[in-house]
Amino acid sequence: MSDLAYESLEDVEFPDDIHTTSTGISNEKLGMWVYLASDCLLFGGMISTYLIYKNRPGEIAGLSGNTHKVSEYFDIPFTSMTSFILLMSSLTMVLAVNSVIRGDLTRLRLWLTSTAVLGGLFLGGQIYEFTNFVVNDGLGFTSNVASSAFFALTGLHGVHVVVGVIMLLSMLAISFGTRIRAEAVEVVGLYWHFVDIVWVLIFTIVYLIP
Amino acid sequence: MSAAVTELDDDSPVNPGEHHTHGPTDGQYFKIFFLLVGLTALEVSTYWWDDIFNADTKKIAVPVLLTLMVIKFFLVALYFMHLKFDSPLLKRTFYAGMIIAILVYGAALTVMNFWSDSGTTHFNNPPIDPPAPFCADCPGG
Amino acid sequence: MAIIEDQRPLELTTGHEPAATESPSPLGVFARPKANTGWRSWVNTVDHKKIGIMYGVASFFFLLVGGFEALLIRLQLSVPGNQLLSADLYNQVFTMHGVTMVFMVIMPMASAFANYLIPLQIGARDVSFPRMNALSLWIWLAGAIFFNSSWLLGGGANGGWFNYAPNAGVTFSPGTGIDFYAIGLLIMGIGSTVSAVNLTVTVLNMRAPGMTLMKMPVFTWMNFVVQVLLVFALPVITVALLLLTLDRMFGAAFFDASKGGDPFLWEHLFWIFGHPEVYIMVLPAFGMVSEIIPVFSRKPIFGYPFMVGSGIAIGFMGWGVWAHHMFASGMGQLSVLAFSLSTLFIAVPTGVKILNWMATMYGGRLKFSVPMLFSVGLVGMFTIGGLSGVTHAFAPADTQQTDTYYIVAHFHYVLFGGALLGMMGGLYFWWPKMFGHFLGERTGKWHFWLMLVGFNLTFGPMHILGLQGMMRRTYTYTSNQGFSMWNMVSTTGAFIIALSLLVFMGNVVFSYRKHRKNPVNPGADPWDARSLEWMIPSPAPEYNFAEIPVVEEFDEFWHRKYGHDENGRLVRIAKTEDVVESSDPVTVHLPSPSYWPLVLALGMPLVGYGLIFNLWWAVPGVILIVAGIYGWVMEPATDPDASHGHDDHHGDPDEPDAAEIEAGESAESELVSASAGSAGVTADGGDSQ
Repeated sequence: MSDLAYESLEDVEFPDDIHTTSTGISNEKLGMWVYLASDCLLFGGMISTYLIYKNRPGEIAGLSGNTHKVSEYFDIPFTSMTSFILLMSSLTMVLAVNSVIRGDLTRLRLWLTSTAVLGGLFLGGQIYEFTNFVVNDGLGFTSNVASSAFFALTGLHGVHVVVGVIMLLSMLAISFGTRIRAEAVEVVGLYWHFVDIVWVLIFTIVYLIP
Repeated sequence: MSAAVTELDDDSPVNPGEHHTHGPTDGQYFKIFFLLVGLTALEVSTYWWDDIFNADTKKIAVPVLLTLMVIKFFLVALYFMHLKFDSPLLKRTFYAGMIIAILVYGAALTVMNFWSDSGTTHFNNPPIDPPAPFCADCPGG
Repeated sequence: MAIIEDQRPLELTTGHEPAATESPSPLGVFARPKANTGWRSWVNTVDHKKIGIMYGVASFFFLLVGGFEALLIRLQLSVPGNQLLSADLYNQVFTMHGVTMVFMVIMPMASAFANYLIPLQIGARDVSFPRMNALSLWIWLAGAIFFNSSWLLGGGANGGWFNYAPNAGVTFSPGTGIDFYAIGLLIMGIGSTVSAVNLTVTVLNMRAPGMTLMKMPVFTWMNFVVQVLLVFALPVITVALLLLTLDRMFGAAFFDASKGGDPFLWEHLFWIFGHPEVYIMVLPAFGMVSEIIPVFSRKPIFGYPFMVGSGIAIGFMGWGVWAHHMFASGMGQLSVLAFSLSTLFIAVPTGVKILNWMATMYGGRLKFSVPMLFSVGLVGMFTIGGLSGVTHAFAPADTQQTDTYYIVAHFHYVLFGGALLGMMGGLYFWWPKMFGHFLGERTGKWHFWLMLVGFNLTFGPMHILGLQGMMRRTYTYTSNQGFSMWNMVSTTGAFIIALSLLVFMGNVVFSYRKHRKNPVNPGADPWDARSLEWMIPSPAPEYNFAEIPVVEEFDEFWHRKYGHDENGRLVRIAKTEDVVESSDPVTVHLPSPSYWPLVLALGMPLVGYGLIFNLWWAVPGVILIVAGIYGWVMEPATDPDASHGHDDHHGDPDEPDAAEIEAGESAESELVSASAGSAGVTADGGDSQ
């Protein structure tokens, strides 16, 4: 009871809700956004690198490596499919967040699982695509600068997806143990959506624009 | 503990729950998702425009693609990531990163002559007849 | 049961009787650290003050390392044709000197102050992610030691601190030195990113009631700008270093022109990071001076909004000037023109700051104690450095000056005369707050004057040498080039600086001994100062504020002590003793110490060695990192068994970083917050009961 008494007294003293942070945003969420803002520059740098190099496979075979651009081998229908999968995982992610806000743990687990599975599918697609480039088209990471830049960019994005999947699975595990905080799911969701919008950029800039 | 305390908790001082009230519902999310899917389909279709229209559509396709990309970006950021409903501070934080990235890398690309890069790469390769490297001991050098 | 302090944001109450019984013991690997004394209390601490002090000690150690390297350089150059160092060794020494001074001295020393002072100045009990704070310290330290270990493992980096391509490629630098550079900086970058996110959130979120942004002290403001700059600048160098690593270790050719790569890209990426970095290094010192000058002038800082605004403007404009480092690279006239103009513009906010400091002193009751001497020294020396900087903005002049000693002179006036002098002043100023006793005033004056004279003797002549055409990074010169005299003067000056540092260390030792013999507490407010950190006892207690102050105006503490009479004259309205906090808090809930950040950080250099020498080394590294993350996640941020009154867990704010490090393996940090967050206890939502 004393809690309550003190509480009301305090509210009089500090009209701004003292329990919250100065901005009213939780530390975790603000921290995640700051980090995402920082990540914009990371991906910006990688995308710029790709843009600079995309038209510069060497023209002199032997000296400059493979003379083919990586863009000659893109399989647009396939990549559209994986992009669609990643987009769908964003939908399941927001549904997970809505479920946890409603306190619906069953649905939360369902949506978290599907998000992680879709993320895994995306990764599988990426691995398939990479293998295809290397094995069938003979275009590996070191073939020329254009392919190096391509693999570095999409690889970095892939690493982000892996981290995201691990986080999703951790959330799933946690949801079976201790009580889960809605905001924790939301913050993981922010990360996941960010990975998705980065892919939106990559898909357009790298794959679709010739 | 006592009921009083539980009540306090529901007031949720810890996580002031904007999204309890403002966040989109599942149905709205589905609508946005279908919109995104439609836009993506449109994007992908540009791949075949050349064949369909029997013309070089690159000049139109690129701006269309970029516009669609921006729309998709903001649909996800504003709705799925709740930027539209959350504190403006978050929006400013994220936009700051985004804008700095665009300006800085845009400037860097400009300085590196990216926009006028014709795609021919002769300037990256050694000249046809490279001058022999300086070498004091070489015969005839 | 409830205790006032428990209501602070740090301890976000959930209101539940939380699941204390459920909370797992941290895997049984480590007993929950409880030591409050001895070395263990430092190893496991999450207290921002201890972390700050460790940053300070470590960066001072590296100052000695980098200073030793500087002395080697100066000895080598003291006479023409000197053979003390071979050309190769000279390359390594100046590179290691530069990188050490930038990334292991100036930046972490600024971090030391930022960590220690920001929470105190904004009236918080700790930073927003205390364990993350420890993590950033350990990662930085691990990276710094990793980087310097290259001396013993095949030689240091030798490409200069900006490590231009294509010289940095395997073709021209086949040794491992540059690998250590790339991976060492990546590791330190992860640490800095963690720290920058943490402090940014701290400043935004942890302010005391009433402390609006425009009531924050200038030091906090400048550091806030710095942290934001770090948040945005570090990923750029991360990209550059990643590409370099891929080039050197995985056979890519991003910077190899013979294979279609573009060395120019490195220059751009490096300087996009590198120029904000310059402000990252100098703004904290500006902040310190902006605290010191008003105190010793007994006037409020002149034009506070302009001070803050110019800091923000510098931070913003700092993004648009990077290519002035590259005027000689042939990037095209239009680019040169644009960056020349923007560089001229950025001198304006810097000039505003200098004028504001002078206006603060104007008409004040000046008292030239040691901190004030250093501050005035900064204003003078930085002005010189700033003016020579403006001469670089003119591209035609700059193409003459590029890579000469004129540049060396310029940036030492900025970084030594600006950053280091300011931080020395800061040390003298905040020493009583940190350690509970003064540094010797008389010895301090010796320190200052020796340092000022030595500094000007060392770097002043370099202006002349540079304009005479002496190139930097050349390991010797001949006697008929006319460089001999000024080089000798410069070497003499370097040894005077070394002497001044010895005086400083003597001062630390002797003042401590004196204090041990005859402890005199300087009191909470030894300088009659203005900002909140002076309201609490010296040295600052673990809990910082027994009672969180409610802030009403800028310079809150000053205004609690002084008011104005009807003539506008300053009058004391309260005794200092009545204003400062004295009471012991009944109970303060502090975050509990943890070993996991250290475990996590220890894995990083192992992964680095693995990448360079043999991938097997990376295995224990990865195991440590993974163990660190999971140990971290499983361990509640606040020990439920701790003897604090009331066990409210706030959902671990930290966990995010745990995951972060995972991504760290990919050389960049993910703030994965939440995964861990949930280890704590739910607050809202969840399964509503």
